[in-house]
Amino acid sequence: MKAIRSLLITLIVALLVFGSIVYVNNKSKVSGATLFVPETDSTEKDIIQQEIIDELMLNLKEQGVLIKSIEIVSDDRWAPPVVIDCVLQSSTESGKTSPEDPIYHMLVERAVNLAQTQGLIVGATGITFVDSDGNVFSWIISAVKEIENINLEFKQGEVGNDTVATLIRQDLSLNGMILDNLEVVSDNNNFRWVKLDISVPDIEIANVGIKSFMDNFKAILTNLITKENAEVAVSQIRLTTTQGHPLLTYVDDLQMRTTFWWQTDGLIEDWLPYPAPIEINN
Amino acid sequence: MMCPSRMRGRTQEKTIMCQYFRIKRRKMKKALLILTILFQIIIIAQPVAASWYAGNARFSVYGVKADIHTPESAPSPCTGAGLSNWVSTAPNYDHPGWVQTGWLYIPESPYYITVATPYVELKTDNGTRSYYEYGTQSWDTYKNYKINWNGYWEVYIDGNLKLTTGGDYESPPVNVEVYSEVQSSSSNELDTFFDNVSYKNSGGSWTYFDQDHWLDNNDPYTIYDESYYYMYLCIGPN
Repeated sequence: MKAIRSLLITLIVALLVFGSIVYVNNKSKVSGATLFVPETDSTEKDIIQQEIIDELMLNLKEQGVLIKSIEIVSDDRWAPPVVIDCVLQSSTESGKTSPEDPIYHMLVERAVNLAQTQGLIVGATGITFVDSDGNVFSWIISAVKEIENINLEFKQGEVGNDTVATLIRQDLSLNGMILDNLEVVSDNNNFRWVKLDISVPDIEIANVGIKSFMDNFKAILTNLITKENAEVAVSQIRLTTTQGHPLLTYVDDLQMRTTFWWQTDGLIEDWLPYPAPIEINN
Repeated sequence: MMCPSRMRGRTQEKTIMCQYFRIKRRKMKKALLILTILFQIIIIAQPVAASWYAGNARFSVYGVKADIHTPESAPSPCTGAGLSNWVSTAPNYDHPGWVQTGWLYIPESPYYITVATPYVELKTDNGTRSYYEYGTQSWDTYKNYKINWNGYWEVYIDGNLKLTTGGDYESPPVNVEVYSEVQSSSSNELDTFFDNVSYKNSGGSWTYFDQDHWLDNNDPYTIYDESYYYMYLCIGPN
């Protein structure tokens, strides 16, 4: 008797579940409503990705990046197996990196990293530099920052950009170098950038002063966080001679933990504590 | 040196003497200026950041990899520019560029890298530099750091491809180094174990380091026990 009752209950439950599924499916078909989030088909995904890329390209061009092309490339060495492949025009004629190239490099990688927060699905960023004749002279593909490792909570703090500029200006030790311009701005995402233009009458003055200047500048950025709760996402330094000859271009993306720089021959190299291999002979 | 006033406005010979003194005075001024500049450079210039190395190298290879351990706890003291432990292609006169990966630790101001941090750093032959950090590496753990030639250079950390690059680097065969590097202060504690240190040969096979290119006398840093070319502990200061 008990067994028959259990069997009946099971049958009734099964019928109810089946009926619900049929009802839901029919309702979805009729009204177009979706009770379950549908799988986006690949075409729709591609359109969304392309829209993000188009916007990204537009933003980069607005920032002065000379983009020849951007395309989405399938590449299973990366996870997800997608590379945003970007070809950049360098101003170089000699096949050597131009002083502006590290800035463009940083801007593209940063933009792709941040675009993940808008839904861009990507495993790596490819950057190819071509010279004025269109010849490739340098390329790099680097894994994107995993979205969970990007600090999106960079604080602006209570102080405004003008105050930050004043604080930097008053603490900056220039060591004989000349501060031509100091710009503190917030980008579209409300992340703060600090840009410095510095010049020297002679490269030897830079060689004497650059290391302690860089240490001092980094200490100022740290103090801004500890004292003012004001974080800087990106710092950019351009060092030239007073005649305008570039000596150093340095961009530090503190948010993405990447740094790119170019420096002229003759400027000392050991102004950063990053490791360097030593020359060995056969 | 002044032209004596008593000579002013006198004979031709004395005018020549005056000119002589003027020239001498100018030279003295110039010398004084150069001395002042030199003095300022000596006084103002920061001491060049010194580095000390320990490890082994392998010549003529197509890749390099190693398990690089972190010590049981944070090295102490670790002042100035701290320390790093890495595998790298070695620069030479014709090709000053290199590709490098490992972990570094620079706990003090202004860098505050207060945990062991895996990184990749590149320098192209024409001097452009790129530096990437990838999370952290806990104390008393190891990660596998690998640089591989695949028609271009690839960099892996723990089997995950982090970066590929080409165009402005030396192609294989190249010399490679697997070193600890202490920067700024020879008081900094070094205690890094390298294991399974291997190179890729021209046939594409990975083989343990098999050459004696120890860098073990960069006092006060050295290698503890050189029984194996592919497994060693870099220590100091002694």
